[in-house]
Amino acid sequence: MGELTELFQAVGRGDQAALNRLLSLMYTELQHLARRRLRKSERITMLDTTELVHECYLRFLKVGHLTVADRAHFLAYSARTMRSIVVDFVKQRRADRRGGGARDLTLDTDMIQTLHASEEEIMRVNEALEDLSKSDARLVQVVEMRYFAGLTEEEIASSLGITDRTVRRTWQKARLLLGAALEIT
Amino acid sequence: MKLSKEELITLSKLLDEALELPAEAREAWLLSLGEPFAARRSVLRELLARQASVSTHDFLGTLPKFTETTAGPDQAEPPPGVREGTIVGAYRLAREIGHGGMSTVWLATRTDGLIKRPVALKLPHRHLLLQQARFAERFARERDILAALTHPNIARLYDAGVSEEGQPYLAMEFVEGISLIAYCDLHQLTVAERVACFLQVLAAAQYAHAHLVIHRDLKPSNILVDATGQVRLLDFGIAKLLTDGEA
Repeated sequence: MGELTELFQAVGRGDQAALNRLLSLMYTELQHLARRRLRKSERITMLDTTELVHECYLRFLKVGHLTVADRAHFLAYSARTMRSIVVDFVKQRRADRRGGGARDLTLDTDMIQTLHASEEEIMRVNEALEDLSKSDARLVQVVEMRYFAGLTEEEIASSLGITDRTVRRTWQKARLLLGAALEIT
Repeated sequence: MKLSKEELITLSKLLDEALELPAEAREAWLLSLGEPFAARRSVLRELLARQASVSTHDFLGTLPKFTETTAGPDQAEPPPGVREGTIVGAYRLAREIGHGGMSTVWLATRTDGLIKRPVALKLPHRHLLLQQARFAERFARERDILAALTHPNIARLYDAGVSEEGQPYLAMEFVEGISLIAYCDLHQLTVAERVACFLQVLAAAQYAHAHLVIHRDLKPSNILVDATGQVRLLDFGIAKLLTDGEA
């Protein structure tokens, strides 16, 4: 039995320490994969989170941390991890612009505005999810899986143990709600 | 301003109710909302009206892709006529060693042999310089103050001026090193070692402040560490020099 499999079971029993361990393991692995990817494409940095999540799954599978039966659990937790990686990534870039990397930015204002809009969207979505984390846990999970990890409705449904229809409804509501949250400036 | 947490939670609950209803029943439901929810009526009405378009539209469908060039040399215009061998003031350009949005930096040597070692010659992009007419005079005054800074952790400013062609230049000590962050990462410094590096930064800043000069653009990329571990602050006070005191 793989290490992650054991952790999933412990987390299922409500073991908080196991959850921390699980998330930090995933964070390290996903971040490692993300960095490697970003290095490869030096000029244009794009983070394809969906690919990252799948690549990470395959790696864990290969080294025996996971069994195929864990896929559902894995997807849910990896989405949560992906959210913090993306948010940290945006925060880091903002910090770099204020300090470290400022001289590396071009003076192309169009591009900077697009950049800021993307980052702003991500930060706002993240804040809204924080606000809703207690009252609407399922919505938060669906948004993490759909928006941050780019998983399909089927993957989300099977991993959360709900129907495709419920996923679609939740997603639709999330988009209405987040739309409102993003609009007000 | 953003939607408050309470507002978001309330809207979420109300949407749950509304989305359960068939579309034609929603207006009646909206009108039946009592206090304190009546205040949300118009927002809800608008959101519900949007439902049809949201379900076909790709809003939030994918995470926005970040694209950012990691270096801007192609976009920034190099000063015209500047290339290897060009003479700027008393300096001959050898090779370009840095290029940013504000200026280009060349490794250069003095044509008169007054300084043997190569210098880092910073050539500010001319369009960034304000009030060209008063520039030279002000430049000279600031230059003298900055050139008086001598500290082991501050890259020296040797000279600054404007060439006959009108190109301003700053001749600075050439530091062979890498940026502070890259240095710390590369050598996997411990916290104590990082603090030791930072103390060198502080020593330089303290010295400059005692001479009434502030850096105005202190950041890790302006702090180099050489192979011996000595920290050097670059571009001390340059920001002010270039923007005519408005920085």
